[in-house]
Parts: sequence; structure tokens; C-alpha cells
Amino acid sequence: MENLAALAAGFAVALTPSNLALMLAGVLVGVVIGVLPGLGGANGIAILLPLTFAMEPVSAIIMLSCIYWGALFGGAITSILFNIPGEPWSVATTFDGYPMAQNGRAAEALVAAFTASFFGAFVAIVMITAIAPLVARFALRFGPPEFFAVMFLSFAAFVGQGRGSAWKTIASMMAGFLLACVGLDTVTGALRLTFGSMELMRGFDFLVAVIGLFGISEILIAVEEGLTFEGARARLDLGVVFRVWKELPRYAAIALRSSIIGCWMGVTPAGATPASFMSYGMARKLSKDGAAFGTGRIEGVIAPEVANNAAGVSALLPMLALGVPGSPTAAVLLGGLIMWGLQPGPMLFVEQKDFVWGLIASMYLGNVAAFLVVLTLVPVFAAILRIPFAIIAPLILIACAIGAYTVNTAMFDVVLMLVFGLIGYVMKKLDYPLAPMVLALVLGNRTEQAFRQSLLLSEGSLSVFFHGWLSATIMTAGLVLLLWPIMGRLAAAVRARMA
Amino acid sequence: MSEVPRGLRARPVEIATALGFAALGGLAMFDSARVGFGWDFDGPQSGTFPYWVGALLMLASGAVLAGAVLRRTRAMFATNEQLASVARVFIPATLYVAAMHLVGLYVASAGLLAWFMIRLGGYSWLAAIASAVAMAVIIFVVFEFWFLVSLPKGPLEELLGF
Repeated sequence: MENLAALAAGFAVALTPSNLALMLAGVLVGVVIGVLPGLGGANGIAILLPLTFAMEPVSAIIMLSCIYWGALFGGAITSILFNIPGEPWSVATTFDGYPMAQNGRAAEALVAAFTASFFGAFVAIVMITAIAPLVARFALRFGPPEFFAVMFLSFAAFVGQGRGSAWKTIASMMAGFLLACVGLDTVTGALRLTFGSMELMRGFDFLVAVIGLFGISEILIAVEEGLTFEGARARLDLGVVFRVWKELPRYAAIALRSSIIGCWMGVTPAGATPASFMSYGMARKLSKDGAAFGTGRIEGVIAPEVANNAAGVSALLPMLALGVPGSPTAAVLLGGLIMWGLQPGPMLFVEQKDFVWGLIASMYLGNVAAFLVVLTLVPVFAAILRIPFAIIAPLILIACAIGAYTVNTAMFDVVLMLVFGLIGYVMKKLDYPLAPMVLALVLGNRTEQAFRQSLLLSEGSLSVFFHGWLSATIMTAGLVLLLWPIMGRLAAAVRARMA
Repeated sequence: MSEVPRGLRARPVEIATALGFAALGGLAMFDSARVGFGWDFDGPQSGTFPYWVGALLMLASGAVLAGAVLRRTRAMFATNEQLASVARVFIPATLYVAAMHLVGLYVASAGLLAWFMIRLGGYSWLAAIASAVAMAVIIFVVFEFWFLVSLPKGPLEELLGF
């Protein structure tokens, strides 16, 4: 009940004309970002973040989070019509979405994808409304060891749940932590890892890194694959919309299961991309005619779209309640909180009620807006992809350069952006995950701070993390996740020996 | 015999990247040792955290390196053709950033767009230059007047009195 009252107050904050306008603008920009290869949720928001310095924090976060919702919806358009995932989390949508489009059922696939996305997002928002305040209240009891344990848990989850090499995940993460250390140590005033360079004294700004790692590298990957867009055309009319909606209740079980997968994967930092794959795989495995998946089954569109939106939205739950983001995009938003002068973490729910509940209320409104926008404007967004690459690529480069420059009005950052772009390109080609690096860069300082304060409590003994039952439990859970791949291999070896 | 595409193999790039990460880790440990990574009277010294992070980075990249050295594959990093396409975008992008230092962001951006439109898009000079100038003017108005954000300017803007 208390939550509902707070939510109502949140709606009062979100429902001002100017915030509604920002919401709509955010959703429109977001869908465009989601459609364009080379611009994604994380770096799109990173580019625009510096322009929001002067805004009210709540208006700024409403606009930026709506860009995120738009991008989550927009990814499906190009996957279905062009077989090009605009976002990594839409890859699984291409498996059945594109065959459907080729069979002349593009409109159906799009309506199903949008409705599924909306459903997934809605479930996640309801979950956030219900659970986030509880998590935050619980987290108010956290001391430095508990916070370090939570950070440890989220980073361990990357290693344990990652799909590639665990060592590469660790390397990418540690590189992120090191980048976060560069510059002035605010505790002791010592200069670290600057090697006498003036420019490095400021440290690395994660926005610059995000723009380079996700933006520039994405363009390079896109060119490499040689861009020629040949896509199906689709017009949505109300007839199709209602026909698909009439069919959808049959897939309620899939949608519900996929949204649970999505919420879980979003809260733990595994993120939207694995959630969509897992949910697609589950739908195929549990279906009576799983073999028909990949030929244009509507369930094959619904399952990944529900899951990726549920995951994308629920990634904001740990960001709001604990100050630990669940995805790179959530990490960028968290960076925004710090820039607007807010202290992320459980105190946010106590000290910044208007901000938190205004944001949560705007999630409901923003997703409705995104749903309506994509349903009505699909042809417009599809037309964007028909603009030749020779025009789109330089425009994206220019947008990235302006974004990187405006973060600190520093020319050096534009050079850094380019370097990060090249690094990101090589890392992507070699299957180093980029998300752990960005999260480590954003959380590095707070992880180190929690680490130091914990050690102060124990006068230098690492056992402090296992003293309290709470931190001990979280640390143990983290260790289990971290060692999961090794334990799996051990178990398999033992089984092989027994057989 | 089937046609094998020529290009850069994955293994040397994998090894070089792992060595690069290891070097980064080593550098961090070296610098942290300078700052100190022990226990001070008021808590852990500044170098403590980066020292151990650097050590973990060396460990992880060492494992990746060992894997890459031991496993001989003929997998491709990128074919020559792919590398050429990447260079066609990356080299102009590098020149763009370099030019920005000299002539400011607006002129450099116009140049970048015109270059792409003429060289990769096959547009006429006139169309490319007209679009490039129009874009630069739009960005100028949006940022300098609307957002009140000042972007880097060069001699041309100075000449025009900004």
C-alpha cells in the first residue's frame, strides 16, 4: 500500500507536460538508436548524457531511460525486417522473425514482437515497483563489507554465467578496474597510474570509454561485414494488430516463463542478451514441434522479445536499490546519477523519493509510449535503414566525437574515444566481453572504497568479509558463481571416471 | 584445392592482445609498488587495490596467452578484404580527429561527411559539399545556440567572428 501511494506521487512528478514531452522525445530517439547499427542504448545515452547536466535530475533520467526503452523496442524492427539485429539482444529475434518476414508475415511478427516486448517490460516494472523498496530497505543495513560482497557477487556472476572464456571475462574486468584507478586517489591524494601525464590526472571518463567501446567499434564491425540492407517492407494496420492480439493469449505460458527468465537475468548482471537466447532455447526445447523453430514460428519471436525487455528493465532494479547496475546501459544511467549530484544506493529511496518514484512511474508511461510509437511508426523507422551507409557512418562518427568531447570539453577525450574504439573492435573480434569492463570502470571507485573501509574495520584482515552472516552469505554465493564453470567441469570429469 | 582467403590469422592477434593486457597488469603493479601497497597507519595504502587488480590481470591474461600459444588454429581474425573495409572507415576517422585539433569540429565534420559521400557513396562533389556544409551549420546552430554548448572551433569560425 505504501508503495502504491509513493507510486501515485511518482505519477504526479512524471505527468507534467514537459516531462511527457521529454518522454516522447526520448522514446523516438531511442527507437532510432535501436534501429541504427553502431548506436546502441549504452553509447546513445552516453553521447546525450552531457547535454542533461543543466536539467532537473528527474527530467533527465526520464528522458534517458525512455531512450533505453525505445532502443529495447527498436532492436526488433531491424531484426525482423532486415535480419540485422540493431542491438545484440535482438539476435535471437532474427531466428524466427526474419523467416516470418520472408513468408510475408512481417506485420504479424512485428506486432507479436512489440506486444511481447511490452509484456516483458511491464512484468519487470511491476516487479521493480513491488520489490525495489524492499531491497533498498534491506540494503540500508549494509556496511562496507556487505557492499563489497554485493559488488563481488555481481562481478563473479559475469565470470560464472558468461558464455565465453572465463579468463577473458576476468581480464576485461580487471582492465576496467585499472582504468578506474587512474588519476588522483581521493582518499590519500596520491597520483596513481598517471606516469607523469597531465591528461591522465583527471582519470578515464567511463562515458568516453563507452562511446568508443560500443559506438566506434560497432561501426568498424558493421563495415567489416559489408553493409547492404535488403529488407522486407511492412505496414501495420489495425486488422493485423487485432488478429495477432486475438492469437496471443495462447502463448501466455511462454510469455510468463520468458519474463521470469528475463527478470532474473536482468537483476543479476548477466543482462538482456543471454536472457533472450536462453528464453528462445527454452521455448524451443519445451515446444511440441521444436524442430519447426527457425522457420518462422511466432513463439520464436515472442520468447526472446519478452525476455530481453524484461531483462533490460529489471537491470534498473539493482541500479536503483543497491547502486550496482545490471547492464552497461544501467551503468551509464548510474554514471548520470553521480553527475547530477545524487548518491546512488539504498539511501536514494529515503532521500530522493520524488526522483525514484518519478522514474518508476515514468517507466510505466514510457513503455506505453514506446509501444504506441513503434506500432504506428514502423515504416518510418524502417526507412532509416535505407539511408546509404556512406551518409549514416560519418554522422554516427560525428555524433560520437561530439559526445566524447562534451563530457569534459576535452579534445584528449576524442582521441581516447578513437583508441577505445580500436580496442573494442579487437576485443569483440576475439570474444572478450565488453560489459564487465564498462561495469568495472563505473563501479571501480566504489568497489575500492568499500574494500578499503572494510579493511579499516578489520585492520587489514580479509576475514572481515566473512564475519557478518550477511556478507558471508553473499560472498559465498559469489564464490559459488565464480567457481561454477570449474565445478561443472569437475562434475563431468567425475561422472566420466565413474562410467 | 579450395580457395583460402588471405588475411590476418586470429592466433597472433590473440597472443598480442594477451601480452598487451599482461603488460598493462605489470605496469599497474609496478606503479602501485611505487605508491605502496602495504598497510599504512591509517589503512591500506593507495597502491593496494590496483596492485592486486594488476596481479589478477596478469594471471588472467597469462591463462589466455597459454591457451593461445598451445592451441594451433588456422582461424581468421579478419580477411584482407575485411581489414581494408575497416581501414576505409578508421583512417578517415583518425584524420578527422587529427583535423579537429587544427580546424575545429565543424569544418572537420563537414570534411568527413563530404569524403564519405564522394569516396564511398559515389555522390557528386556538389551534392556532397552542399550536404556537408548544411550539416555543419545545423550542428552549429543546435549546439552553440540551442544547447549553449561550445564545440571546438578553428580559424574559419574566428574569421566569421565566433
